[in-house]
Amino acid sequence: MKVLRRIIALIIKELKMIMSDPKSRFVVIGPPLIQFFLFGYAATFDVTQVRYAVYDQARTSESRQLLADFSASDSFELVAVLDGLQQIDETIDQGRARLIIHIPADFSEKLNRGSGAEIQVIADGRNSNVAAIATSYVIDIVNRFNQEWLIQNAPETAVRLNIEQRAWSIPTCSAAGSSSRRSEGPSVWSW
Amino acid sequence: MTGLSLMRLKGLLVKETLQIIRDPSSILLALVLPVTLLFLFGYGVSLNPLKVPIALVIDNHDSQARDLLARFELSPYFEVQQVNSTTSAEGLLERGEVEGFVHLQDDFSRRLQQQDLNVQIVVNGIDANRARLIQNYANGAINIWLQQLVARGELSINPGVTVVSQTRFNRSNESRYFLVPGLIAMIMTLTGTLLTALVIAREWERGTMEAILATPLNLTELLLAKLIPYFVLGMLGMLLAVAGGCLVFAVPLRGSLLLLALFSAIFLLATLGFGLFVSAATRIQFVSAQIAVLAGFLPAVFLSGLIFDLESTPRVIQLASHLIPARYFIEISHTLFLAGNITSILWPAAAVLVFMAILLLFLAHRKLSKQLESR
Repeated sequence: MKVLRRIIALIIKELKMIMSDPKSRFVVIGPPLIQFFLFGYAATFDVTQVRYAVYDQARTSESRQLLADFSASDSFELVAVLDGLQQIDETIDQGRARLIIHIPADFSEKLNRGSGAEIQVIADGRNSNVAAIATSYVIDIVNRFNQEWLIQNAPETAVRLNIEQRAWSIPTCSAAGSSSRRSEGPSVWSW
Repeated sequence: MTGLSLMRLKGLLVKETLQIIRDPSSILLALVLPVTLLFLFGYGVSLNPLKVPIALVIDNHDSQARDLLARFELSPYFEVQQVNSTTSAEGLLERGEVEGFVHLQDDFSRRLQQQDLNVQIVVNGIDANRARLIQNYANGAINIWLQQLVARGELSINPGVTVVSQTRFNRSNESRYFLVPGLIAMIMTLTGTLLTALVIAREWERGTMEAILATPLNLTELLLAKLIPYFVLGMLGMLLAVAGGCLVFAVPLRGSLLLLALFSAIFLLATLGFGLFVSAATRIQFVSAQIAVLAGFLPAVFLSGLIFDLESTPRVIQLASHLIPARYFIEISHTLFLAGNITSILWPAAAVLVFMAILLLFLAHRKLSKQLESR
């Protein structure tokens, strides 16, 4: 018991010493608080509000419909509309946009013919993580567009892709998980 | 106060240099740490999942299900393990042995004939972004397989719109290309701030400040003598990191090395100025080191875009990041390494760094002179 009392006395003395010196007091209280907010708000791998630019050579109702899906998305923020191929390099190089969506002139023609319309997506790879996630957002949006468009315009050739995707997580830890965009339930996709 | 004397400066420089050489811990911090961090980041940290362990549950082993399984096994992104039931797959997932599973139901092939592809993909969602990337890989594998079916004439479908994606500056999307250039900023923040945060506080603690004050040295000479050796150490650390990054990890340096050295020097002066300011202000080595880590190093990791994307953080954090010198240097470093000499990004960032370096060195000078006057 005597040992315990001595140790307790020492602990109290040490605590008093730390708490009485303002600089030491700050050093024990400040860092955890600051780190808490830093880690909570700044340390995130989530990607939101990707600044993107559009170069639409087709200018058809289909291309506009696709682009409307992008401007409606919270993940993207339109910053520029380009009107020349040479502007694509400039815009990416100078960091004015982090992603460029290029719709070629034959977009609608190929889409309606059913031979596969291609759009080009150019991402700024200086941050490889942002580039990968932003590109995956694009693929999501295009897949949803395909699903709607094919059902409306060519239901007989659409393949129904019921890819049920689920992300398992512990429910109480959903603060970080909530920002992940999960597509749940069956959906009709096309590649 | 007399003007600068080269002789006095040289004397103090010799003293500081000897002090550094005799105290191996600072050399360790300045030269060994960069190399260690470089290897840690280069080999240990990767943001792109590869060889993800997944389980595949196939209820009916017909040719098409086996064909899709083969597609997954071919993918460099997956390490596939076949299990018999979803229950055992869920068990593997819960124990963390796989990161997800893909389930092909009994009627998979039959429904595919009716243009109805039915696949269940379940991934571990604790790391939301990783889950997302794994789902994308799985979708990609399925899409490639579908394309093969179409090419072989086993399926006729309308492909709709396909995305041809390209990542500029980093074709294979290697996270190393992104991490290593940023690392140089981290290394220089460490050497610049942590080492110098100790040097003036040390003189106060050991009582040698009074001895220095008794000499005809003036304040500017004292600061310069504290600055120059650590500047040299910092630049050496920077060169080591650049050489390691380019030679060992094959990170391209597409811009000019000269510009990189110039901007690094400016950035280093800003971090040295900050370290000296902290050192002069606290006078206690322990507190100095704590503040250097807290106000110098942590922001350089979290608020600089080194790992975490600033544009995705709340506005307050974005605004706060403008006060962090490392933010500007990391922008410069990423652009110089991966994109090249793009003046519209480099020079504005460099101008801010010049301003910060001057301001911080001035503040250090003023803080020290005030403290000396108050003696």
